[in-house]
Amino acid sequence: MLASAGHAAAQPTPPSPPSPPAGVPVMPPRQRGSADVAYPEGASGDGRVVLLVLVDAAGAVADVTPASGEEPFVTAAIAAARGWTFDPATRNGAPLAARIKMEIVFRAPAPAEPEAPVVAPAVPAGPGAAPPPTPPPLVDEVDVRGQRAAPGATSLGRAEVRQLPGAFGDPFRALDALPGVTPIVSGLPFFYVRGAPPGNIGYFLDGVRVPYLFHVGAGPSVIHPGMVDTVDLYPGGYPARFGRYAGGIVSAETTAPRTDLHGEGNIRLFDTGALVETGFDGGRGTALVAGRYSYTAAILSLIAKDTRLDYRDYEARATYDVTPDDRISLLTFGSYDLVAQTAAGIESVLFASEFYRLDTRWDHRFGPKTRVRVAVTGGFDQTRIPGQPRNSQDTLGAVRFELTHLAAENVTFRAGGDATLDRFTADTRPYADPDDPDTKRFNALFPPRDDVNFGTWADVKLVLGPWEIVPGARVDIYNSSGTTAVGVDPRIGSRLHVAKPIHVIHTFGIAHQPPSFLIPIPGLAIGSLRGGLQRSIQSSAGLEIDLPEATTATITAFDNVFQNMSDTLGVQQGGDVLDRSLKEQRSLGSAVGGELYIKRKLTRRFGGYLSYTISRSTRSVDREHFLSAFDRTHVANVAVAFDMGRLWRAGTRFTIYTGTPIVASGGNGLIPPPRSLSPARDPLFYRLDLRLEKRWNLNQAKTTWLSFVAEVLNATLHTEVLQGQTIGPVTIPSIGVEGAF
Amino acid sequence: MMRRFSTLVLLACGAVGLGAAGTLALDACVPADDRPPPGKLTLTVSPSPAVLNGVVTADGWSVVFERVLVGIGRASLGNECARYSDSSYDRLLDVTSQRGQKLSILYGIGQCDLRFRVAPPSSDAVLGEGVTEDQKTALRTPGGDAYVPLGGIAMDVTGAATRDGVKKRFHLVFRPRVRYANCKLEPDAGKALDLRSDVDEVFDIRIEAEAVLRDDVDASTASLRFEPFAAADKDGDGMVTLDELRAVPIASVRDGGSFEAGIYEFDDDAGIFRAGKAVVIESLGDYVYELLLPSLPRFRGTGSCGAGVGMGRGGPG
Repeated sequence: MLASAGHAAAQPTPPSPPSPPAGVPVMPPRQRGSADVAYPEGASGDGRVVLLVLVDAAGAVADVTPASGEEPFVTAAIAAARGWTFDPATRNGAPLAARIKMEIVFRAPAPAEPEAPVVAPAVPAGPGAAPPPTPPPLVDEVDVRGQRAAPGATSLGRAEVRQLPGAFGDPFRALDALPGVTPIVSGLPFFYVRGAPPGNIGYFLDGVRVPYLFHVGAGPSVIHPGMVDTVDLYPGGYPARFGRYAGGIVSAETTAPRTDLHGEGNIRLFDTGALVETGFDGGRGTALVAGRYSYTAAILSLIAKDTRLDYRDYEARATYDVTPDDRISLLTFGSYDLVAQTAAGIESVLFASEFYRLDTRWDHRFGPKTRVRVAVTGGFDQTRIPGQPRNSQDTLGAVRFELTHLAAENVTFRAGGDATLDRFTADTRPYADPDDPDTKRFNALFPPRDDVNFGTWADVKLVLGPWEIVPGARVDIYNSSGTTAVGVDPRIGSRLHVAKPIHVIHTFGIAHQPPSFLIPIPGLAIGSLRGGLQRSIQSSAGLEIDLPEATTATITAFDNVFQNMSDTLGVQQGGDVLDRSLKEQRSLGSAVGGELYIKRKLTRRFGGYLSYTISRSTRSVDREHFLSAFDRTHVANVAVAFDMGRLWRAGTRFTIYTGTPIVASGGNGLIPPPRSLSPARDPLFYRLDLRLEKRWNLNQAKTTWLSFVAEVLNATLHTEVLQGQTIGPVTIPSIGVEGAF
Repeated sequence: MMRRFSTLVLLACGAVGLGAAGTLALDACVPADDRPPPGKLTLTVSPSPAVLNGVVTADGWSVVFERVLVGIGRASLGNECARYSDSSYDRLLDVTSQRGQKLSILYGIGQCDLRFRVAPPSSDAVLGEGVTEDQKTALRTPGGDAYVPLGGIAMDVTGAATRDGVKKRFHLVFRPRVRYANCKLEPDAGKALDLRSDVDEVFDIRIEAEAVLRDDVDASTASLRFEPFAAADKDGDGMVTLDELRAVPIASVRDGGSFEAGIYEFDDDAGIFRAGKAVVIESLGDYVYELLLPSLPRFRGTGSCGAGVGMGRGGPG
């Protein structure tokens, strides 16, 4: 928080905005009333103090620790802070304790003003009388206390991900370091989650469906990292509000709106990005813009003049507190990728993709116990299909409703519903061989059509002594080209506190999904509900253990069953994935395994984690029972990051995993031989990632800084073997400068 | 209350409007396909006159081809020109059935290479005139011979030869996958194709099954000879097979023509690519399988293509 003590007194904070409703996992505390801090007696000049304030679940200040500042300002700030009250932080609408960083600025009294400090009114009194805008809490990192993520979920915070080598500061790129996640190929950010293929993983940003996460499939994420507060991975048994994906959920939440002017930017080898946010109208509104632009085209033109690679993305958000109980928000983001090649003086697009989203929300609070969100989303997706010189589009609209009601102190009721309309179209293919089976398959798989989905869900969070149990269910009705299907998905998660450091976690859920393509591609979705819905039955059991030295350990066993799944990758035969990409073959699948996750925050002076997954993923087609083509028995990641002093920070990450099963080839015209449950495997793969950062703090509060960051994925230049083919080495270097204010 | 509601509505409308405007402004950056109309190349496959009508060999045998099944397709343009559309499928054709069977249609502009392959048919191979699913299944069934340890069948040639009242039949199956590129009408000619906007072309690939009877790898100087084949029928069942041809030392048929034994080391100029691998020719079977087989397809009747031969899994193509 920036509580500026103009003329020896603190400026007030604006009226508290409404707390967000369900669907926003973590929101920081908001201060109630005035944040006046008296200019300390005997002081001289301006002062700046940074405090770490622990706000409990009731909104009271439980602890205050100075992080920086000089006396007597520190003592004055602490004394004032102890009397402050807050709207507590919330996760999914439920209050929880949180530690936030606050900055108090003292300004020396002006000699010309003999009067005592004048406290400006909390609300602008009228034209000309409005006080200078005062920023809300400056939240550097919300350290959630006493409240964990939903049972079975793993959360990544942006501050922590910045320190993870090989993630390039991108929370989405850090997902492959989590337990349960099996990479397809090193460096390619598409992965299996507990046996579920990439097409079965749903991506959401603030509850808005995102068609894909990474530029050109393997580049940086399509959402500016500075806008992402947390990324939660739900590998199974996820909360009832998530539907229509049968494998897993990646749910990102944007940072809380801030009314102080702040921003960040970076310039790297291949791209540059920036984010700026500020408040307006006395803190009632906020506005944020962010974007990224790649100049790889310019670099590539020096190396390969005939090739063009472009990508860019944008994000913007505006919020406005219309009343203390009403907030209107607008979130829009979009992404654009293009790969083209010029021959004979004609540029041909090899691949191009774009998507845009516009989400408008109204958050309303009915008293202290009930919150609702109503949102309308519009969007447009388009992709140039490789090998088919035509574009495929999806114009979409959606409405959703979310309700959170605190029925009792230990009972939180959540419910919601949504309706989506996806209008899929495709340009005609003027230059095609009409006999080409791929053309016929494409037309059959992706017909022009309207897909309409309705869904409703509800769950109850019950806290019964040491038990936290969240039963829920959702029902989805799918309609595509006149074909209708219904999915009924019961879900339940529980956390039992059995002893002081130990929780027992259980999750169970059934999830349905329409048929899915090889990987998520904007504007492409298999139509007509061909072959019916995919279904997964997901269960897991595990322990969460709080260890000394701020370390946590999670041990989990999982057992997933997949029915009627359209996993083209997993049932491939002999590396002919592309040949089969349009051939939908349904299969029965299962995945069993265990996960170990030991973690000490990478933002600590010395932090690190160990992530290990042992699993076995199988598929059955007709009477053939075999290992999934991307079954990797062992996947392990070890990362450490340490502060070397003088604001130098270094990190390294070691990744190792088992090779994939070698699938007998059908690519030589053979009728493929039966696949096996114990095939030979490609050799194991390992790589080492490195990161080095030097930081310069440009102000005393360390809120303005500049960093030099050098990072490399696969620094040891290891090659990977996939189905007998050597790949790489895929090594991605990055050198750049980052900064924030 | 009413004022608050109005404010809400106004703000919502403004937000939606601004967002929509922003979205529309950035909408549809992916360009439509606005390239100039391409040239259209229709590829066909035809039998050689010898396959269609039969042929009398230099040693007096009248040879008739009863069935010549060929798995052929995956035609594409080279990277030198603007490729609009390739063809990613195979056909299984019996080239004895008719002339000018469609192979595929390609679109592009510029001077570029033509590529295609002869290989065991894929599961979705389109069947040509008179070809049955059973035949496709038979060609896709794994098997092996002395040259390809495990593979389907790329070409299946069946015929008969008669001379002086003696009739011999032959049934030869070839398993290698052969990828053809660098097709030219003349050795020193330029690129195979010169596709121009809005201009349609029809090129034919001729299958010269009689090439297996040649006594020289150079088609221009070779003669067709069946006598070594007839003599290879050691079991006297009237059917000449590849195994029987392999039992005939190449040196023993030198009198019948210019069959050359020895070690063949191919390079780009020879038009047959074996990735530097030397081919040892010791038998008539070796000669037919290793040297003559890749020369069956002829570009536009008289031209030729470089051939990359894959004798097993992981080979070219």
